[in-house]
Amino acid sequence: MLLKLTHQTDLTYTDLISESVMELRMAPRQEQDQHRLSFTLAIGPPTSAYNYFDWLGNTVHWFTVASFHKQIRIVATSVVETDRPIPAPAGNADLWPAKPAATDYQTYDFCHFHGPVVDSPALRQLVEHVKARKGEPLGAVAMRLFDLIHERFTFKKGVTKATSPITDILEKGAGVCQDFTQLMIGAARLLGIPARYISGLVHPDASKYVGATETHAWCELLFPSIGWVGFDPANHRLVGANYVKVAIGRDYQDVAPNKGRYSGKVQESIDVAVHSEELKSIPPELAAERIQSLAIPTYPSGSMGYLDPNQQVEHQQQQQ
Amino acid sequence: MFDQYQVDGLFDEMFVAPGHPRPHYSAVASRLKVLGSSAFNKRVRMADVTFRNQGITFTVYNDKRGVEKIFPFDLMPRIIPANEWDLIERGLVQRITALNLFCQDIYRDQRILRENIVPPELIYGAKSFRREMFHVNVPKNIYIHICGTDLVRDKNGAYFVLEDNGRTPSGVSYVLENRAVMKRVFPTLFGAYRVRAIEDYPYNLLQCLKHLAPTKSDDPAIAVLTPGTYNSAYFEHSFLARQMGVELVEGRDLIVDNAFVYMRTTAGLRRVDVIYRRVDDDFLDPLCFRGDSALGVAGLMNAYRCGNVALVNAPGTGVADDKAIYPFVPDMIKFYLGQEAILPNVPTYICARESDRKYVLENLDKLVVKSTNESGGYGMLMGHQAAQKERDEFAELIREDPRNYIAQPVVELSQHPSFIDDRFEGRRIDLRPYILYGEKVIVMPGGLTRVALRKGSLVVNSSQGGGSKDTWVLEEEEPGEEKLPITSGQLPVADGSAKPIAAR
Repeated sequence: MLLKLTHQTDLTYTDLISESVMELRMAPRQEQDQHRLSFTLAIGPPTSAYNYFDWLGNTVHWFTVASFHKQIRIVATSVVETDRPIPAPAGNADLWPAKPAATDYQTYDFCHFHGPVVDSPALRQLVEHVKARKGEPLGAVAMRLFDLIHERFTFKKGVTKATSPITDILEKGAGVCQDFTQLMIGAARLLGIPARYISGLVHPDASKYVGATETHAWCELLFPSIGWVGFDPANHRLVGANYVKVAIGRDYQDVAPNKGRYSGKVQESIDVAVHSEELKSIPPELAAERIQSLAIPTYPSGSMGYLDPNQQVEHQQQQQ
Repeated sequence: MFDQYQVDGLFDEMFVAPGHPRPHYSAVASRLKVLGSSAFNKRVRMADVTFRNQGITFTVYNDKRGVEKIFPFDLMPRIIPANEWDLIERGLVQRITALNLFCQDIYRDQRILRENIVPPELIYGAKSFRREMFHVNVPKNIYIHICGTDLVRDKNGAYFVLEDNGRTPSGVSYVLENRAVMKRVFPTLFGAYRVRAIEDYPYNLLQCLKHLAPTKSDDPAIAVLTPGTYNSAYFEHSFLARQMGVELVEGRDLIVDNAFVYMRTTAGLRRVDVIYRRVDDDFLDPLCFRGDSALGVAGLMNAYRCGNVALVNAPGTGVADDKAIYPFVPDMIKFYLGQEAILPNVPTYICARESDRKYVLENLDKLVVKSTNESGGYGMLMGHQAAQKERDEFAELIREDPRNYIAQPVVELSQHPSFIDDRFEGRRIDLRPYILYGEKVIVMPGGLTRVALRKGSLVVNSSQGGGSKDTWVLEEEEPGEEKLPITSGQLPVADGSAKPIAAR
């Protein structure tokens, strides 16, 4: 599937701020079943953008805006080609519990609780209901967990926060895709299945996807024979070609699409819009990567006093 | 003064047996005999006044009597002969080299994990393991530029490494101050020995920092980053900045703009090339590490990744001085350098290992248990001295989080005479030499000798009521050289009176 995705983030502040430092995880990953043909990042106020690969291989772009400003706009445009057949975990030959090779420690991070993915009695109770039996197919266990979460929990905005641990969704019975994903990750890890968080974008070729106009989250479970398999617990769908993987992590904390700090005592509002379209052919003269500037104003420092740099606020956006 | 001095079956630094000082202490012994306790007392007071007037303090948290304390100075110097120091120095150079190769490996290829020399889960389970440091190009490939390694001696006088401090070791300012006070209070005694100089430490530290500057400028901008005046080692931060003639800054004085770090000065922003940071990894950059940190600089790690600023020590070195990794240092030395460790480790039980844990829980009354991620003598159990209730509490802690604990047999630390209530009594000591890894490795000759001032105590940490001594490392005696005449004549003494010094 050849997709063009536009991901626009608008951050607006009630008053002037300064010294913004922001990190973005917005460039789709290069993987065997997904190729990023082009990535354009437009930032305003105009500044320089730098990038690096984080420890999980995600591309991180970052920039600073030192002078006074009231608004930041980030537009990330990607052209991505995906070739990912819908997985069929149920028919897989791997058995539960899978014994990872003794020397393979690379999955350590995806087997242990961390950050918002915490162990709790409620999580253990949920996992008990999966009724995993020794020697049965791993795919069957995973699918039962997948179905169980779908039956027990409802998608509802405003119940949880960006920083909610999974005890919140367990207690309230509802949450957004971030909560669903982290819940499934926690349950899978409890079952001894390595599980990781995926932040990305979905092209809604089927009509009923939640979170399609915003960044989306789902998870991947490791099957020894075929590798990582994507499950979208918020939509109760297996991950196919219309999903674009942007970042992988242990949990949301590792993959936040935008994460930043600034100086100033103000209110922040964030507005995110994702647009996707299927392309018939690769556009001509496509640049691999391009950084552009957007005409968002900055203000001379004379117009305002000195802002206490201690008044730094972190802004994060929940993945719905 | 030494009439009732007991050796108590321990290794005594000064005496082979009561009344029989070791050769390198004989001049001290005879001099003190002549001086008498009242004159010695007078010098103790002189030293105390100096420390108080100069504000040489440290902070003890959780003390109702106030947090800022004068670091107790024990005027009786500790003397290390040249041949012993030679061994220590070689051992420390070997160790810091291996620890650096280990950090380099852990944050790049992880050969030592893939070959199962160090269990990967110990690294991945360590709080101090910084995944953010993966594949970061560290200036000059050095991670631990400044290391303070704690050495102890056992009953037989053999040196052991108790732990490495490769994050932000403190205490070096006391070493320098102790020496300055010592020279003032006991000029003749000091002059009687050929003590190796330590006063070049700030210069060496500055060279070590300059070596890392990203630009080839002769005069790179260097700053000491402190958490602020409430930090226990603030005195040291300001002391070192002043000694080196560099800026002392807090996080809020720095800003990252584009990929560079600047400090706010009265003349505008000024670029910073090297930061000697005394802020823990967790608080260094709220964007990269703990988001609630108000001590750090947002974006600092990004500037570091770009190679535009050097951080000393590099973030993530805690993985090398983690107490659960410590038992593997001799293996690292073998693995990276193909050598045997010159300075051995104290045997250590790793509670994360089931068999070790079982032994530890069954033998808590014989062991010292330490939390792997704490320092300063916090989170520690001296099993042989603790009450049953404390031991039970610790057993519970170990069962809950075994990764967080190690245990070691009690090392009967060597003792050294300390001046207590008008006479000398033996008190346990350790030694923390400071190692600089710049263009080459420089071990400061001497270091901080810490004293457990409480009778019978084995805990020397300043935060637990320890004091310190000046440490004299002696120059090698050159063959055929005339020894300085230190044993005869009337030597002037600081209090104005002149007293004869007995022949040695």
